[in-house]
Amino acid sequence: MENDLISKKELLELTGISYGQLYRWKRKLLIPEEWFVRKSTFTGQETFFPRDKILARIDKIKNMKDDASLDELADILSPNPSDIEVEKDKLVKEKVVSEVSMDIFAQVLGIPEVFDFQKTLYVYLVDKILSSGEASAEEGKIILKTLAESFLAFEGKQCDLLFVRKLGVSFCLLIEGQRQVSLDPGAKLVSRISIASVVEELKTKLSNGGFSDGKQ
Amino acid sequence: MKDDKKPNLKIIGDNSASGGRYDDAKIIGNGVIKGDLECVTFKSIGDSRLEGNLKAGTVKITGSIHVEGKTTADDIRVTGDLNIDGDFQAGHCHLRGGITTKSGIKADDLSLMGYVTVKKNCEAESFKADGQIKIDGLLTADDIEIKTYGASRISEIGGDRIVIRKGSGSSLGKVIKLLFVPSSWGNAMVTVNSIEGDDIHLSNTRAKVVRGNNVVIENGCDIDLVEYKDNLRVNRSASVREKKKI
Repeated sequence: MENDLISKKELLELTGISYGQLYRWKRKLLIPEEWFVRKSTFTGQETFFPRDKILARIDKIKNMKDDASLDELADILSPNPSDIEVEKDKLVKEKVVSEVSMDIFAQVLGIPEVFDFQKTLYVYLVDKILSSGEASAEEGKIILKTLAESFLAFEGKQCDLLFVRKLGVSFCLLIEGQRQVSLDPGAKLVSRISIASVVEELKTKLSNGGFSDGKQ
Repeated sequence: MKDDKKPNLKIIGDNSASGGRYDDAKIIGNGVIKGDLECVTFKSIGDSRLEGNLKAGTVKITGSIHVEGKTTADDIRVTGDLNIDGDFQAGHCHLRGGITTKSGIKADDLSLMGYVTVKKNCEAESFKADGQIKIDGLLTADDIEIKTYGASRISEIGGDRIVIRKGSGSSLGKVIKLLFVPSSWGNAMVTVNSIEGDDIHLSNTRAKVVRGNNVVIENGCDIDLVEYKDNLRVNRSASVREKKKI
């Protein structure tokens, strides 16, 4: 675990950002609170970050901050849904999700005229897990039901989607992000997806695809 | 929704009302509002209590108020005592007197004079405070300016420009002292665990660690460790145990 962390000092040196920027980004929630890990060192308390995540994030902020304001960036990077609305056909046409996933969505939750971000996220998650070949269409429905019923309860918190199979029986769980889970030896954790990172991926995809301003 | 004409609420004397959505809400005297209050303008003169959340455009309070829930406002001006149990979120914030929150503060700009107690983090773009300040969490803002008039204690400070100095002996300072700061006047020090910023200018500060690009340590400071990148200037009468250029 020690090697996966980077101290604040080292981070600033490595990325060339200033304390002012780091705290500003923290205030704008561009860097999640959970990434600030406090540890005691010989000089007292110091702050550390998960190395890969923070470096990737700062790289992303530095690249994007010329094109978008900090508030827009915060919207893209936050785990909370944005207020994007997309038409059903467009999601398939722009290859955000496959036709198969859309059908599954229709069977479980019905098909709305426009997809708000929440629904887009559900169908995108199912599409992701289906196209990885880790789950069947039938299992996709279970995942979709779980999401529809429980995802909102995690409002604002990081959360992970776990998909588990044992002796041919499959089920899925939603847990608070980065928590450790132990399964009995007979069960197999097929897939674990961090929803926050998928949200980020989807938002980037949607904002690049011109979905937010309704262009074709 | 904005166009809907909402009713006004007025409490005069010793009275209570239920919460709800109003256009103007006004309390003169000793008012209690039971439930959440949402309004465009909220004005209170006297001593009032809100048993719920407050959400308002502009808030003006003269006297004292206790909000038992969250407070959200675009513009808030208080002369007197502000007591909030939940989170406090505001745009412009102009507070004169005493403010106590059991949670955190989030504001665009925060101008305080008097005594301040914050149990969690205090975040703003600009933070200017004159008085006695107690923050149990992190104080972060682009621009932080503190004039201490008593023993202040802040767990951590982080930002761009950070200035801490002792409150001046001007007539204004004397008024503040007389009105707001009770006993601990003799000990005008800010005690902080760590201060991190780009430009730091400190006097009358006791800190374990100070980290920054340009650091100036003036008199009345007692610092265990200073880590700086570009410049460090230490006044002869200040005590800095260890200096490190990185």
